Amino acid sequence: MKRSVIDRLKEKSSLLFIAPHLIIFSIFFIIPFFYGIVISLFNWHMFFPEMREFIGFDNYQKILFDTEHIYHEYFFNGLGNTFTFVLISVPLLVAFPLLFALLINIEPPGYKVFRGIFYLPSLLSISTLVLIWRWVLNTNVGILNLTLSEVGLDRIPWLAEQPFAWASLVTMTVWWTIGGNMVIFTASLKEIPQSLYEAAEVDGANIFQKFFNITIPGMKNQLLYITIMTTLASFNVFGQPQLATGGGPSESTKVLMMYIREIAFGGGRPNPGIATAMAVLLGIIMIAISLFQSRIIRRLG
Amino acid sequence: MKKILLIVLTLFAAVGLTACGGGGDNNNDDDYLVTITFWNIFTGPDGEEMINLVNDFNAANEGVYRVNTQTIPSNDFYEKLNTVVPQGQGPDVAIMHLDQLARYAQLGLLTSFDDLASDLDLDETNYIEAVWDAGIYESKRYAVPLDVHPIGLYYNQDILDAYDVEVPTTFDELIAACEILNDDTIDQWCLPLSNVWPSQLLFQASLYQHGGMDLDEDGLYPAYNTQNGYDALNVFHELIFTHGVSPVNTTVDEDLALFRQGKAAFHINGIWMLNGIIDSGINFGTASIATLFGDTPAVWAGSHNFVMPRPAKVNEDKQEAIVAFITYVSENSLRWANAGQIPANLTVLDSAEYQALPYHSTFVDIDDIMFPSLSPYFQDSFEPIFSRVTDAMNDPNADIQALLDEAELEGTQRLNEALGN
Amino acid sequence: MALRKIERRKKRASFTILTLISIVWIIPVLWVISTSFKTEQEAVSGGINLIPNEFTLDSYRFIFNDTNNNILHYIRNSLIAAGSHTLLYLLIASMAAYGYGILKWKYRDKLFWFLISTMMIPAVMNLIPLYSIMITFEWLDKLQALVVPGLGGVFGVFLLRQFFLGIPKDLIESAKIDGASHLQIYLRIVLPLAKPALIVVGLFSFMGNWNDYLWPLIVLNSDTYRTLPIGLALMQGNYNIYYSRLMAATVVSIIPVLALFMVSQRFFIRGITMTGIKQ
Repeated sequence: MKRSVIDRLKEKSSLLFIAPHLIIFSIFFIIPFFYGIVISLFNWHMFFPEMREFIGFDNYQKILFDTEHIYHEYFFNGLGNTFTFVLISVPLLVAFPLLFALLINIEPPGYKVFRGIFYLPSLLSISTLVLIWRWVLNTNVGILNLTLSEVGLDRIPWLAEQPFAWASLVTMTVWWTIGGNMVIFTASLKEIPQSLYEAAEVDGANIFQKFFNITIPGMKNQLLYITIMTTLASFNVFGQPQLATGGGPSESTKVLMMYIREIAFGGGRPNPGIATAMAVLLGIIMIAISLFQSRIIRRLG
Repeated sequence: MKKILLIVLTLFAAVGLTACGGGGDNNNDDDYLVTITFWNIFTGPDGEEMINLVNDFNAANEGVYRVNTQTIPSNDFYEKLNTVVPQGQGPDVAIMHLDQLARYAQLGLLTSFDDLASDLDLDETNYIEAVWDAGIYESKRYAVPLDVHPIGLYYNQDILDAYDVEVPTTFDELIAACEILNDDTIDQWCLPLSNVWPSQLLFQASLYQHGGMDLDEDGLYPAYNTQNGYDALNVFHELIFTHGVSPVNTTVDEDLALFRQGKAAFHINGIWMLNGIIDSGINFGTASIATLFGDTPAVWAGSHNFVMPRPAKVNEDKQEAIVAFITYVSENSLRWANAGQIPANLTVLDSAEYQALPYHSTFVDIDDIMFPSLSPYFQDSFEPIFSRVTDAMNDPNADIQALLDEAELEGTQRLNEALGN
Repeated sequence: MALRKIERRKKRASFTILTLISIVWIIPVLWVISTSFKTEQEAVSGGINLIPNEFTLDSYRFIFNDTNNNILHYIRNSLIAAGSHTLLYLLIASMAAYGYGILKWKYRDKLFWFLISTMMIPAVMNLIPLYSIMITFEWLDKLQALVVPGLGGVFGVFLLRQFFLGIPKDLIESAKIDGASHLQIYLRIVLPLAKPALIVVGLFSFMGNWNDYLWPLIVLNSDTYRTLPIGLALMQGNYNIYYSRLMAATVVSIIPVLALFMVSQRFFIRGITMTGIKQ
């Protein structure tokens, strides 16, 4: 009897271990989540609370269905641009690291150095990344265009004209972020038993058959993980277009995150209700797509 | 035990750092010292001169006033102002562009100078009239002008001499000059034009020169979708695609880079770029663009103004310090001219020292200056044209009328949203 | 014999391809470094040469002496913010991981999987409300705003818990029999054993905080705590026509992370492997 009381006390006190994290987590993750949904149902004035007004789903209605409304246009333009970025970047952000991982997995001399070089850019901050690439892509004195004109080709306005602007943004993203995916692929390649390949060789399988029949199924989980994480990250794209193209040319690289930030915090007339509603919609889309992806990949496996 | 100690220590260190962050004010000067905070938006070379001015003011008023200044890039500045002022955490005094004044006054984020307990001893006859008037919103004064910053023409003297070409003052002269000056063989351009910043300022100048207006009479709806607006925008499309004065797809500062490299005969930019061009070592001169695009003389100009963000509670000592500071900077604004701006103070403008400055007096005739409409809705209605100016300069097949239509529609929608319709 | 030959040929081919890609990979950085040592005139005149015609340190001198926005000040700010965030997070996350991994209590796993499932919620949904909370706390433009909100992150807890689960049960049981309290077990047994995992989590939370751009941009107003990414983006505006200064600032901004990577490359690699494999 006495013992169990002490035990229970002990158990309670041991919950103190999770308390600090749980409290902070609640304040800065859980409360904002619900608070955000509340904000999106208001005509929300950030600073003069007396001016806030509950309007139900009006913000969502404006964004989604009111074709006359400017926020409708902004949302769909931003969402379309975000989708464009996701569609171009995700396949490359999965394929390139996989290719690099296959090469590194052969373990040629100095493979650790190569791995380090490919990984290194992912340590840079977005500002550094964009500074580097704006300089490389500079129309007049960037090394890329200088090289092009050296071999007699025309200079290309990399950041000022489509489709080059997308190409540039995706290229810098690939350069910046493939390191992590590559390392995961390298590690998972090691976990595929060598005997499977040997058996396939005995059966006379060529390199592509081995790749599709052994390698890919062998790292199904990592592939799923990487595809979902990369997709989510790509949906959050913000810094590259914000700092490199400013959303141009003609707002064609102005992604939804840029609109959300501008509407929420921008000079002029901030409208947190609309911005939060857009964020919630983006969130729902992202969750839906990652669930969809996981189902597809599981079925393939 | 050692481990526990280590953890506790790091915890303390971290918390200590955090706590240090909390209390920022660590000057223990005597109680009579009045300290004010000043946010400026001068991130370029002019920022250094502003800091020097502040330091000199502090030195001259030691023990009485002190100004703590903070440089914030203008984009961030306007966002921040929205957030800090309503919480009573705004700066005591700040710099604001003329075309933003009405909006922030309307939002209730500024204090009017009319409400000052102590008089602002500034004589309006001392200021350029147009810019002095621009500080008024609904018959109250919210701003004291510091400077005027027009755009103008920079020309490369050596190139003009080599081809024996005069500085053009009209569109026809410009085209004629460019036919001579464009030289593919040596990679030399007549007038490289960035299709982004500052192209919208060029468009505004062109619009006013064609007799057009940015907003309607009430300062509400877009008024640029007219024949005048069409002509104003078409000028840039033709300059690039018909007359080939500029490489296509030139982006921000690439036009400037070409001029600084001596590969361009002309460059249009703000007077704020003056020191950047002097730095390049080019032999150059400046001229007005008042009739370069159309017949009505007009030069776009902006203006930096002192404003007082609304404080949590009025402090008369601080207001006194603000007045002293603004007066000091205004009286010393010849130094501001050296930093690459045109002072708004007429006494300074008329001084022999100012007149002797090599580039300022040819840059613009003060009478030609046109400010954008002073409306709280200027950004809402007018901004949508910016990206269409880019399109017109970017796309050889651009449909100018369609671009104007789109901009007008977006401007109208944004205005309706702002008006709450 | 033949097999070994094929193996060798494969290695040679892979080496060649990787060398070529690596060169492409580092040229942008070399180009930046090279520009930073050029004179402004040479930088703007557009030569393709990677070795400067005239080698100068002027740009570095300028940026280090720039009082308007000083890069060393930004680096110091970033170190303080990311450093204190990391130390606090290691403490809080390891305690939580102990609670979810070693301790046994009724709703433990349910609560833990709830935490994990919230990782699906995109950060953007919380951005604006979180900002409102910062206003309520009066944390805008304060160091707390950079350090504290991220301490609720779940990812580090997840990683550490995975690691703690791998600690032999016997060690903990025998300590219990010896009468050790949970605090003692946590401090004396679990933490020392988990050193590699702590380093990994520490590195990730440090890098995440160090490189964060959007959040500091929103919550900071003044130069006082302005971090490196924001400061650099500012310089992009301020030095926009001074290429060589801009590139010098870029090079300086790379040095701290490069140094960190040099000393801890294997932990980075191990850490990423942990995140990807343990699914």
